[in-house]
Amino acid sequence: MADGHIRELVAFKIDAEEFAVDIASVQEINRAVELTRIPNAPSHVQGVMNLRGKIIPVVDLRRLLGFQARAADKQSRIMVIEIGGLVAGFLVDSVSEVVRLPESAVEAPPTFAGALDADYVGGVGKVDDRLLILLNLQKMFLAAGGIAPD
Amino acid sequence: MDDNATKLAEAVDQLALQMVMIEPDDLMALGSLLRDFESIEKISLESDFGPIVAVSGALKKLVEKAILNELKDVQKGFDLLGRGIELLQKYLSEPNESQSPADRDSFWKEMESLEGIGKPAGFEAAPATESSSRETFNLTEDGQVYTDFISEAMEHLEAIELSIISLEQSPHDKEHINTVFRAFHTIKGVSGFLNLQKINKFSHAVETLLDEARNDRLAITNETIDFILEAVDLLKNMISDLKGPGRPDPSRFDIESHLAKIKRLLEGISLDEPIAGKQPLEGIVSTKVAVSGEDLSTTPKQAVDALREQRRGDSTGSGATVKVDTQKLDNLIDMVGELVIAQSLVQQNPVFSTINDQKLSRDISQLKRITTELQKTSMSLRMIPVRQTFQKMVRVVRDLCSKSGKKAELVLSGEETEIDRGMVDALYDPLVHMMRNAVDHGIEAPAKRIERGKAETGRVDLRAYQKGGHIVIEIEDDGQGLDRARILHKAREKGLVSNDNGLGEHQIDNLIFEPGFSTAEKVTDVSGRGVGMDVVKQAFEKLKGKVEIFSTEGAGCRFVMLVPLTLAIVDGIQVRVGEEQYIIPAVFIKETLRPAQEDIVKIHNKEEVVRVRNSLLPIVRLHNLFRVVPQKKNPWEALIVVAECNGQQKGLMIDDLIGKQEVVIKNLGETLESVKGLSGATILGDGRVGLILDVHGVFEIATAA
Repeated sequence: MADGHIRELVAFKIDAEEFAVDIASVQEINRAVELTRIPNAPSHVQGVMNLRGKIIPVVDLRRLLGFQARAADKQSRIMVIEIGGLVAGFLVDSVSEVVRLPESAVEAPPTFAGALDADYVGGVGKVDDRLLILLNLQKMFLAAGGIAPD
Repeated sequence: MDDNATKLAEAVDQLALQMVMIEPDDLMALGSLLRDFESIEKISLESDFGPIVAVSGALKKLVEKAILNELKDVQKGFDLLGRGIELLQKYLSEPNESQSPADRDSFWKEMESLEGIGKPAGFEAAPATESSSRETFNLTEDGQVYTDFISEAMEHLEAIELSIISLEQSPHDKEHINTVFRAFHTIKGVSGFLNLQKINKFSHAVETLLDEARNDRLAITNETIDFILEAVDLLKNMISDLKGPGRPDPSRFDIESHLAKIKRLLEGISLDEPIAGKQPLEGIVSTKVAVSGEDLSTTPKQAVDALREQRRGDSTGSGATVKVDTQKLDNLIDMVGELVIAQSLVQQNPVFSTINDQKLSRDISQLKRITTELQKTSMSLRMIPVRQTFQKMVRVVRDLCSKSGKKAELVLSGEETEIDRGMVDALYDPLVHMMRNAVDHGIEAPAKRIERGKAETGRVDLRAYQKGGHIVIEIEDDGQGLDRARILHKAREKGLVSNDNGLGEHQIDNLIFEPGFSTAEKVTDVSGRGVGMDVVKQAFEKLKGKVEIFSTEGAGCRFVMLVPLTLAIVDGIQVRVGEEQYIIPAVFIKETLRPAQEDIVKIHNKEEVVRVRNSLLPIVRLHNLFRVVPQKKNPWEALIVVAECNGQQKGLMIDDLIGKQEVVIKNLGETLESVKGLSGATILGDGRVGLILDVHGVFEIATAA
């Protein structure tokens, strides 16, 4: 892609880390609601929620990305994301802003050591002195037991 | 100017107007254009307006070509059409003036060169370019017409089945013959139009046969009826082949032998008589009696007539119905459900009760009434009458009878009873099976019936009615009833029972639902599919329903099947397990009890069982299954829900009963479908998600553990 191309991303936080996903894939952002746990589901599936009459699974991104679990609070948000006809919620600590990032500011993912699973990272974006980790939603979906689009 | 000339002038002016608005792909408009040209041609022929006859005849052919999409150059073709109409207008407005010959000649010249339509006023119908090898239908281009044809043809074929069976009962009823005839006619017309030659050829042949019958030149015999039903099946196969993946392959279907049968029927030769000796097969196939070549080329007029007829049928038959995408319907129902929840949340808001405003509370009650009504209406959108499914059984019974040599009449009642759309398909197979059972095992052979003092023709009743939140479907035959001695014998032989002394009549009857049980003494075409009544029972259990038998030896057998009104709603018991709540479908629950401590026994120090009256039931600790911390550790402190499924009973241990509730079943979503022990979810009154227990699954997990 050309350098002049601008990417619009939704930035959110887990602990002190900042992440981002493509804005086009985000349907809506909700406050955390009370979820219903699904017994025997994968551990990162926090439960299911009622999204205006539809029942959708909610993935705890903390768990999926290897952070320590903690209870949702007032800042917690559920990002409703659709990929390839599937809808799921992703629970994050907080949603900060929409970031416009030129393609040139996005770098290939470095190899991570430790907590973060490198499989889910699509790149790293630089905004001023902040680093945004761009998440690979399709892989996240796969990991969540969802069906990734072709 | 005489009357005819005025009429013509009017008609031509009308045509000119139509020409302005016509689109080359608007078949309906082209059809009406064709009809207009025809009438102009006819009137002018009567009045001997030579040139008009020629021009309108040529234009008619042009339109036919346009309909068949055979115009070499669509734009020029339509230009020509316009010029032709102008020419007609001129002829009519100034009949005595000499025409400008240049205009006229160039018109004919272009007609000739462009589309090969010459001046001579002949009446050869469609151009003879339709070679038999041309089954090149462009699926992508004409997709819509094509899929419409498939679904409509299927509907027609089903309609034929129904009328043909009425026809069998009253063979002289012209109305029935006509109905069947019209249906074949339509199929023939449209298939010809779509250039599906094999279907066209075959339906045409059957139509010819029916035409003979219609004109009293052929008697409707059982043989004819059998044949027509066969023809319906063949056409069904040919048509469903069209919608399959890949290119349809009409050569798979052997219509020649059927065409030969038609010929024999037309000649009054019984189909049973061997063909060889009478007439060599080749001779039959090649002779052109029933299906002569020129008959076959469907003229555009026929095609258009057929389309027209179809359209007429649509508008009268389905009256005021709308076809709606089921996805949209489900969305609507979802949203209405949400509305009801939102409404009740508002009403239950504590702030609301502190407001003392009459108008507000009146308005809120009104809102509640409306939402409730809306919910009822939206749920009813899912419901359709069982009529179609029932009527299909008429054919099933008929086929069964003709195969087994028995005589039986199927009497339907309560066809208007409505049932969930999703349920209709699920009911079909078990019903067919039950019909088989009734005819094959229930109804006796005619001779035996007479011997027993019964009417020669057996009677099978198929009834539907609503009872509470369920639909009851009953199948009752006046046959021999279940032979309990034989059932017991068979069951013992197959090792299904070891000690049959204690078995009551009802229990013996229910043995026929055991897997691996089948009492048919010989494997027949009818019953010999290797599946027994256990399949039926399973099918109904899957639908969260059940089957019961009431049999009187010698007098007949009655099966009563209970299914919920809809697959979308389940009657559930809400229970608490630890901190969590689950919904158990009520249909599986026998009873709920708090056992005494001495009724809990541990077998081999491992498996826990509870004594309920005379039986010991394994206990399933749901909290272990769902990995929650229970509030009550011991079964005698907790509650046991006795659940039954697949003939097994188990005691499900729960902490508490919360209440009984009708809930709308929702999918857990593709991502979570594989979670065992849950069959779905629902949205509870407070807007949260509640999980519905899958009793089948829970039993499986518990057995495996």
